[in-house]
Amino acid sequence: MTRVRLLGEILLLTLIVASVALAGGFQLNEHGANAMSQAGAFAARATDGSAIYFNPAGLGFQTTPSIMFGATGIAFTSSFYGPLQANTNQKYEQAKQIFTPVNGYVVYPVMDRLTIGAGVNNQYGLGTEWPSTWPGRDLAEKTDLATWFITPSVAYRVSDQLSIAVEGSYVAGSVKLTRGVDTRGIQTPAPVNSTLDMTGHGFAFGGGILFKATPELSIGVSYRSKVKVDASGTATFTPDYTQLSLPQGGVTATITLPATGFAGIAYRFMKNFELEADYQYIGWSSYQTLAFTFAANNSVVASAKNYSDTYILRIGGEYTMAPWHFRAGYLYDHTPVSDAYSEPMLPDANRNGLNVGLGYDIATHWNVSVAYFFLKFADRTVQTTVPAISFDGTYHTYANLFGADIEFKF
Amino acid sequence: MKASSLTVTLLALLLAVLIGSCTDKAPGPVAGLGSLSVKSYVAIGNSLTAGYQSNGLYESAQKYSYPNLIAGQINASGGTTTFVQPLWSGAGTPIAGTNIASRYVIISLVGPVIGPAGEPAGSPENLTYQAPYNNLGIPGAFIYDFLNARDSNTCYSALGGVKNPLFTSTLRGIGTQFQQMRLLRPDLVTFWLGNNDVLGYATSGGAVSVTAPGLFDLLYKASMDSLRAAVGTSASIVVANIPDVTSIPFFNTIPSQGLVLTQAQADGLNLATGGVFHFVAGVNGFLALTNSGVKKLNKNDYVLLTCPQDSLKLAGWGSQKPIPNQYVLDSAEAAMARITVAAYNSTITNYAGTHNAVLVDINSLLARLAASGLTYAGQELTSDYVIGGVFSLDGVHPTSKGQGLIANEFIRMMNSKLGTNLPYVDIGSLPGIPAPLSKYQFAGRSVPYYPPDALRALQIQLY
Repeated sequence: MTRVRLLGEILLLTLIVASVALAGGFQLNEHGANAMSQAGAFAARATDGSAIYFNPAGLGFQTTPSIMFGATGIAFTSSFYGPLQANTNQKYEQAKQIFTPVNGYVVYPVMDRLTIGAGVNNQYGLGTEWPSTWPGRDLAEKTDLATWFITPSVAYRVSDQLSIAVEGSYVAGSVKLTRGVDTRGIQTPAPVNSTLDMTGHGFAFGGGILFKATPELSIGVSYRSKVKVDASGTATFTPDYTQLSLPQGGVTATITLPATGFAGIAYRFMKNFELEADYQYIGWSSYQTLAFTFAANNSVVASAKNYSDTYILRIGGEYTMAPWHFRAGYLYDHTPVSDAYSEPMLPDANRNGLNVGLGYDIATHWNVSVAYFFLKFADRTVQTTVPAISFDGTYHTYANLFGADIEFKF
Repeated sequence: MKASSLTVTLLALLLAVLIGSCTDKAPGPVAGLGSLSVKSYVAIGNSLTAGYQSNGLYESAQKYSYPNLIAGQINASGGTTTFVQPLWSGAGTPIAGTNIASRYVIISLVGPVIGPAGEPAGSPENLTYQAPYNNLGIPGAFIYDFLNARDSNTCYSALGGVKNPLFTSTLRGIGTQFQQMRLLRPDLVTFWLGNNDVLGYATSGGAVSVTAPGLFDLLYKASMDSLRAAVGTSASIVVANIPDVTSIPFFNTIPSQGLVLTQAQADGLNLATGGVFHFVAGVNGFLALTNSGVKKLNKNDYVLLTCPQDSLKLAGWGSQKPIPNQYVLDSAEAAMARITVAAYNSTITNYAGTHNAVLVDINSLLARLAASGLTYAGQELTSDYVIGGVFSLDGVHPTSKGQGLIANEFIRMMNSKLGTNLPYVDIGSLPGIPAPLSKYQFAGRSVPYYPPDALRALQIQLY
């Protein structure tokens, strides 16, 4: 009946209609320089420790103990032209940031036909940082997300042609979201910012099959379940104008990282040349809404995300001229985000990626790999964002990625 | 070997294509004035045009008047127009006959208290400016005044006995709004008059009469005839229509059905009033005196923001005693106001067409705002009092954000009809209503502490 709502309630509704920073843009598939330089088309071969990510069944054919570790440097460039709601083409540029996901794997054949392994990597990550005074300040300022996956795996070689594997992951994640608070009609002496700083953990399980149909042809499939991460942490509002009744203090959220799976086919055309093509599925439809619960007043702020399931197509190959390995690949990554839900916290778009790399066998028991990956997001002009976002414009994004790994075999 | 060199060549080509597509340049046309020349811009209007806000006229609000914002966007797009306003320093215009500023502020969130804060009034800052002001918006101006008012003695309200000193301080004895506009030889004129011709009726609860639609039509036609003749056919004229006055918070903050009773209270009131009004447990309409006698208000009636809250809460207004007529716009009066607005708008649309003027449909804009709110970049604007962001503390006039909303609607129509491509004002960057907010320990100093639920109290108080 009454048209005047309580300010506290309204602030909550408009406050952190946040999207946690995860999506196509925040899934990382660079978990080994060898695979990365072949555009991640690796599930049908999975010949090094990164099999634990791409297809753990690959461990079944690894008959020597090994250790592999490395890192990827991701340099991200992103700008926004708009907003069209303001009839401008004003350019706003994200701060240049470099992210360095790492990877490490241990592989150990415990007995004939049975190999175990364990891996550590960052399967979701990255961040965005827009100028603090830009027009989209109530949508996104600074967002950081990191996840750690610790994955023990067991692979069993059923025959010389077939290996199967199962694995489980312990997942720890942290997220930090900073953005402006819409204080509605009230002019505060200084703009109010909110920061949600949360950590959480969850579990995933997965497995894979690798089948060497002929000496030239192999086929691999793998799957990893979605991860329900129960996150909790602190909501901080600065300056803290107590009269605004902002829900300072505890905050919780459940964030579901999507299920993913690979299906790959590899063919050795010559003794020293092979190619692989993969289809990767990512079950982003698990990300429909994001809800934060604030302990201070037990209120819930939910926002619709409505992501769709999506896929990545990968093709890559390796040409060997001992001790050198020349590698290259191409991928197409289809965005899970529709125009209506595009937002600056995660400027996503369809992407094309081009990968090149080198491997060098320093000795029979150790080798190094380096990879370069150029990832171009299609320029994306959105004109139909939902009212809760109402921020149309053109996103222009690309990234340069550099990877290196070293592998020891015993 | 062959296959791999082919692969490498293909990949190198692809890389070249991808990197080539990285060129970062603005999509779409760049903002600009297009074919529009703006050497001289004049804004004609009333309080809305003047930048009057929270019951006063003062510089910190005037600088966000929609015409000043439009001039800013013109100059941000390559224009070089000068836009001078009759600024009032400090707290601005006085309460008549005093040196106290009339503007409302949120004096305290404890209570809360909204009203004049006893601030000393300011004074006109540039009375000696050697030319007419570009902003000729005069608070209280009626359509009649454009061609006829020269000072406080000749303005329309003076005919009814209310001399409006802002005519004298704005016009400074150098002619009417029309004459001064002509002196400035404008190539762009915005014209928004007519609001007061119906608003006074509504805000007085029907006590003051409207300008009859037939008379309004004559006056508006005369205004547009003179205006177009004075500026010539090459100048651009932009006119705005009149919003439905009943959509503003002045009429929608105190609910007409705000009387909440227990069964015992309902029984008591029914006994006292002879059972005529059928009070029930729960929500009831307030009792009010209207032109057709005492009635129990329904959802089509409005209680004005000026109705004393204390009397409603403590003195039995609306239950034991009917709310006086001057604080109520009943459904018949509201219908009268709406019919009048519709008639005015049909006049405005008509003469905009015949005089080749761009029409800005503020009525539709505020109807959309009232119906569903407007959002932009995650910020929500509604027509709620205070927290809606659009209407200032007097419940009638826009805040700076509200002025931005109006400016953007003008700009949208100018872009559509005049060939310009002006950017809109970033509404999110415009100030809202200042509140005496303080951090408990701000900058290391202890400051007065307000209870966390003070603003909740503010809202509850308004019922």
